Amino acid sequence: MNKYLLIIFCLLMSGCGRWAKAKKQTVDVLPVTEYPVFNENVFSLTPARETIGYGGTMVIFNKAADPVDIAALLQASIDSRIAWASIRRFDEVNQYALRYSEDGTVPKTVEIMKADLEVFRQNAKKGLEISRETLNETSETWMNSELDLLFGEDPSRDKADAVFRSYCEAKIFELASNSYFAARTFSERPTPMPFCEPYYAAAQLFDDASCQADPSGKEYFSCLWKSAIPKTEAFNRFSEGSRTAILSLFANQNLESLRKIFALDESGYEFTSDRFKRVVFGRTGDKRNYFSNLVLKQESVSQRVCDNALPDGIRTLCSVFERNFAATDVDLDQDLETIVAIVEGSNIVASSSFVLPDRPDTTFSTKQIFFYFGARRNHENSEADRIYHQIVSGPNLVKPAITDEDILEKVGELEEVFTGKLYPAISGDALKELETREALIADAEKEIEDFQAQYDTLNDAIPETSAVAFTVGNRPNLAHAFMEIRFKVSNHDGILRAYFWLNGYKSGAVLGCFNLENRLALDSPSCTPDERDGIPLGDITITDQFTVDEKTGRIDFAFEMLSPEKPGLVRKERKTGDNPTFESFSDFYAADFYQKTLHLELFPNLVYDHLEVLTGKAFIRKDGFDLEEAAISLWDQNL
Amino acid sequence: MKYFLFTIGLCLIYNDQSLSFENTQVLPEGIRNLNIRTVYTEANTKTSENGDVESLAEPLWKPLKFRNIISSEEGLKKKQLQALLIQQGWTEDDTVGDFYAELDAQINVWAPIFAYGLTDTITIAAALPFYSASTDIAVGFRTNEGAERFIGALTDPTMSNNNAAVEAGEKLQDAISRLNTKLVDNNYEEFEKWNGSGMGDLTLLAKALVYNGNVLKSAVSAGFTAPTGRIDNPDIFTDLPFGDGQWDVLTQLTFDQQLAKGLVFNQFYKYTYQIEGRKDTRLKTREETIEVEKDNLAFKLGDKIDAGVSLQYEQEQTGLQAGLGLVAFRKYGDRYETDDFEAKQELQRETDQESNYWAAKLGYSTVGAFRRKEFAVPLIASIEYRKQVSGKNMPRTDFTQFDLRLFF
Repeated sequence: MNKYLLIIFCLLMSGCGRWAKAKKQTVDVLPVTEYPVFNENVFSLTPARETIGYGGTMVIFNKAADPVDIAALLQASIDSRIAWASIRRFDEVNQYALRYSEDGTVPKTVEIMKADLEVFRQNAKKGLEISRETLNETSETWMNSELDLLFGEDPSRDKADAVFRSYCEAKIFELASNSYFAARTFSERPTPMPFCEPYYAAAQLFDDASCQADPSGKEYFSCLWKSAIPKTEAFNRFSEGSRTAILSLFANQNLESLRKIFALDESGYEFTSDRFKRVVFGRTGDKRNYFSNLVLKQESVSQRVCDNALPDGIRTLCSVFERNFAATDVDLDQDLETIVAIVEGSNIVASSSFVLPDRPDTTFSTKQIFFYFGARRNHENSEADRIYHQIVSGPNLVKPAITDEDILEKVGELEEVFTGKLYPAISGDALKELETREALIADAEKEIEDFQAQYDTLNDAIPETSAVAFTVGNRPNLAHAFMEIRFKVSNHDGILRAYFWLNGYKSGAVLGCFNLENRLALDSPSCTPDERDGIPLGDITITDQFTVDEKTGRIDFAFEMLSPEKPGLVRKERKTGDNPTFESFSDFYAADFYQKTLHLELFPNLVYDHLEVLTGKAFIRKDGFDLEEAAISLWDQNL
Repeated sequence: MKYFLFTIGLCLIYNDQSLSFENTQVLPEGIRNLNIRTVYTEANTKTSENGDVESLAEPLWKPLKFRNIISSEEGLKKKQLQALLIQQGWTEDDTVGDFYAELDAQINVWAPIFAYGLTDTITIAAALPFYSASTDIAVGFRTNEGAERFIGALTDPTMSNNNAAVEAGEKLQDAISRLNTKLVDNNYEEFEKWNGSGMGDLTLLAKALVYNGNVLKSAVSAGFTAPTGRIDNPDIFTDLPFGDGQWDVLTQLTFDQQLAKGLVFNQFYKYTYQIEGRKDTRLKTREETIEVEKDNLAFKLGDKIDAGVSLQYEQEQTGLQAGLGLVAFRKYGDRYETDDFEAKQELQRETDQESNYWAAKLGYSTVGAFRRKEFAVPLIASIEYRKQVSGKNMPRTDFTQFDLRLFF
């Protein structure tokens, strides 16, 4: 039996002392993320930049918020940060504000380059003249070739021809009543509009002796008023009474006085004939100013009402120049100024009644050519006058100042078309230099345009993304408050000062101070605002809960809200409506915040290496409990 | 995983009779027999439904999904995490890492089987095994590209949420202990070594020699198993059961064919009907195995069929025994009664089992020598090795079995 027991015992013990042993399994996990390195200078403040002003939002979440809405807000926040960072990066990388903004160095340089170019161009043109033969050839042939270009064999050309004939006649009246014309003497009959010379020749308007050239110089007042105008179709459309009145007005005995009046010469008003004076200015001559204003100075429409109360002479001339831009289709019988406005495009309403085909291969229109060369603003000469008129006495002619932006952009191209016809062609080394300078200007302008376009695109994204954020923030049940907050930090002499307030409540900011040397928060009275920080000193609240962790960059800023209304923690009604309002809101009253602590936990970062941001959370605490939680997004806004 | 540990235990329990080398022999009337059986096995792999080999801890090889992370958060933080997924275009089923594990189990069983020859043709037997078992588990975790994207999104300067990234990174570093915390929070025990010992299920069996020809012999066995053994604890992932918690009824047909002197060809067929029972069960699902409720469920384990053939040789003069055999095992799927459809599916998943073994045996019998009065004690000592050659939903276990049969 003992043998049995021994055997059984051995069997029982055979498996003892053997325990399962599993092979150790590895843990292969991503390393824990490290906080961005700020080299103990969390706010990147330097002696050269002692303050940084953050602006952004604090969203106090509704605990019932839908994750979909939170996701939309998160995306909007990211998009907004990207928009701000993109423009900041663009600005700093390209020095946009300094170089390419409207008053940047590059646009200013371009202006200087343009001025230099114009000087260079004028200098290069000195000694280069277009011959009279060439000018005459241009005036004789251009109109016809232009109409060929526009219409070819199109039958509508006949209608255009008729309009241009009326325009050419109107330009005679215009020149004839222009003080610049009356005040000067010319060696050749000045042309009212050089492109109209073929019509003038065909109508034999200037065949009289008074219109013949005189190399010694003379005035052509008589030529226009007594010879040309009476032959025009426009003149002959006036009533017989008007024609008689005008002809008698410009009778020989009055002509010199009228010329002086037209030339703005005061001595012209010393009439020898009382009757003439009475006809023109009224019995007492008290309508003299009417004459000047209505006829000569061509002032506003309201001053040009032609009524029977006016003396005959004024009323007659008034009717000749009366403006009437109301026509919907070109009416050749209408007043002369309207006809001019129709062809030169100087009045949109009038011009729309006469539509010309587009010029091929140019950015400007035929009407703009007529405007550029024919327009006489007030009593100044036109560009065509400057080129064609042969002044013997009187002030020299100047290039008219162009104020129309559209024309101004096209001046170079307009004149280029007439190179060799109206403008001398620069050649040789001067031309190469000119082209080089033009190319440099064009490149610079293109560069400015490109940068400004990029900047505008980036700039447009800021309000767009903000609008989305505000719209999302207003979604029902997402948030109790969507507040615009400000956080300004300064470093003066090793003391960090942080000011917190809601937009519009700067004077009630909460201030915390932190000694960078011993890394301890300062309390009142050691913590005081610094006037260099630009914060009104009146009603600031001091908190001793402001710390900055140099390793993680974590910023803790807290204060007990004993006067929550001071920094702006008050109720603000929501704006209703579908459109983003860009208005913050708060469902909480100041009483809801009272005696609770607002604790900000912020972390700094650098977006796209250029935009400094602070992100994190805020908690509204009471007795150690987090009653509400908020998300904070702040970025450097140069506040 | 629990199921496969459960199976390892049961593989041994129901082998109260030698399934590889059966025979029709019964004890003479009045003769008693004590068989001291020692079985040893270990396992750390299993076969899948397709027969592929995989870790025994494969059910623990779970991805860590955002869903799991979200479930561990609450309040606004939970919503903010959900919002991040929406904003990034991720889903809660996206993963940030994978848990993996190795489970090693060792089991020793000592089963005293007492038999008594009631008549010359009927023998009754009782077996009450004693278990000593241990398991060890090692859990690993590795993050994947999802984690890189997750951390990357938080640390992207435009998101600028480094603090959350640090917090998330620390949680990922601490994923295993957080998993253990999650286990404890859900009333589980942490993943750790386990060992235990105790009695298994009691089997009572009667065997009758119903035909005793010169060449062919046949026997019929019938009996039952009583749930006397420890069942698995639903709150421990790594424990081993020593019993299946319900009554079994079993019956077996055995045939011996004398091929030559001392050489027998044996075949047997066994059917075990497992009666319904109840036990505390975790309502785990395919998606969630930890944060689940526990319920007392009615269950019905699948019935089992064992069949085998063997050639057995015994040289009477020397007492030397040898044998070679093949054994096939089949168990039908289990059934659990619960209204929780997902839990029911998971509990019943991969419970339909198959396994095939070959076996070899060497033994020495002193019975002949005892009869010849050449040996003082009538006993048979044998060693048997059973090798699993294929299987489905089975632990990959080879068995080494020692038998010492004493007659008195």
